[in-house]
Amino acid sequence: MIGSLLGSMIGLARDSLRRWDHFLFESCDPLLAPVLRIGFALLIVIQTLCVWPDAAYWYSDSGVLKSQTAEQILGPQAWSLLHCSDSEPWIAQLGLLCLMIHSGLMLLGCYSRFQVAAIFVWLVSFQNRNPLITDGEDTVFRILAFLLIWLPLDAKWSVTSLWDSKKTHRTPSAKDAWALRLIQIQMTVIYASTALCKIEGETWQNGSAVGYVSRMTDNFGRWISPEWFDWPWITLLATWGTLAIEAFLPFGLWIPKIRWLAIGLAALMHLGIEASMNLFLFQWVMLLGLGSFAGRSKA
Amino acid sequence: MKKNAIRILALLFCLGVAIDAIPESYAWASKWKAWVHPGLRILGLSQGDWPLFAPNPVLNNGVLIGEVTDQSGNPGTWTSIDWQTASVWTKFHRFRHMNYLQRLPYNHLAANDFADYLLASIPEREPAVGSVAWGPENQMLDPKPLVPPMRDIKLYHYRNTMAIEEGQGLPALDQTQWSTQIRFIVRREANP
Repeated sequence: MIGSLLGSMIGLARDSLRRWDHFLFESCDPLLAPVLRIGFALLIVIQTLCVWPDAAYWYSDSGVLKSQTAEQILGPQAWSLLHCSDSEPWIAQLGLLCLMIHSGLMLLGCYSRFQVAAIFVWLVSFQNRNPLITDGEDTVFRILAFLLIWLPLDAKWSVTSLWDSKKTHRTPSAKDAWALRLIQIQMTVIYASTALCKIEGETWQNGSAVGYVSRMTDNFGRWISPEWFDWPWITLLATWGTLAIEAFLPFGLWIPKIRWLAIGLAALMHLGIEASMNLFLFQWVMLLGLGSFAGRSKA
Repeated sequence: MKKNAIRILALLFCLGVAIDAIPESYAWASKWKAWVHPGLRILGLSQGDWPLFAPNPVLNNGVLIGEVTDQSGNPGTWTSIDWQTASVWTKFHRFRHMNYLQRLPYNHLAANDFADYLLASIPEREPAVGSVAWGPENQMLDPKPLVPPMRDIKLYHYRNTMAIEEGQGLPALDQTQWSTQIRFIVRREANP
């Protein structure tokens, strides 16, 4: 009795491990990695260029937040290279210059895994140096940077692949692309978390939430006018549409038959938000993460 | 060996992010979150939940106002960017300023630092205008240009909230009534 129970448990464990291995090592499209590399590096370049003129303002002790205050706000676990040195303006500028060089080299595909590891360290450092200016977009950038370290980023369209002789250049296979699965899981978690948060809100339930969002004078107002939301049916459609899509994505993205429908709906939602709100690069980094579902992945 | 390490890393990552992203309102998960989050923060992988205008959008329209006194005792006023009138390009490349000014009124430590920064930066780096003052016989005196360094600053948050009657839905944009609430944030004096 005990022997057969033990046997079936071992069988179950082996079966689970086999499925986990298939999920991680046999079913992802490694050629997505260079696409993600180019998109990610471009977004980091834009982000760095925008923050460059304010380097001293945001990240030095002669700016708006002292290093010691940042440490007090975030606590001892939040490390930063910028806490280790004198908080002088030139240090912040040097850090941003490094970030720019690493992202430029990553864009070209020059030892991109090293470049993205360095980008990860700098992103953590800058975000922990001034937490008051960061938001969800920065979290996505940071986690994507960590996950990209493990992917064959230079497999195509890269300086490294041009340098490598044919003998040493190995075409990556599905087993090299396991970190794509982690990017997909990260994206799923974001959609699931936001849907669960929203479903509790009264304004999301009664269909008025996006109407209130349209009255935010700082974030809202691009090509879609807030006056559009004077029509209640537009507000209802936008609110419940957003909620429905975000609740659908954690399932839809994982079902092969409807994956492209899910990707299309998500892209529509992000582009709609981009057209109406000023959220910097948030929609673009989400679209990039969504791209991890776009390859020829097997079920 | 390598394959086993990847299997374990992937499993830990999935568990970690799934727990960390559980909404704060789920009290049953708070112990797990409190256990997982600090570890992820050390690794640079913390994220927390993803409210994104949830549970309800918070209208945070308004500006920060700094009332300063210069070394001669003349009053002046510094005002933050008014996002309502800013261009799309300004809202793009100065997006970090938007995040910062939204959060500053609710973070006392950061507000102290910002007030100190303004004291040191007005009027060279942060433009401010002289304010109307009142003379000894209550007569109005013309504003005078500010002379650095500033002596003290009082920082206020002017927040515009929508006036909605109970049971009423979202009013049309041209019928919306706004009321301004003024909240004192911090007062700082220049270090001698």
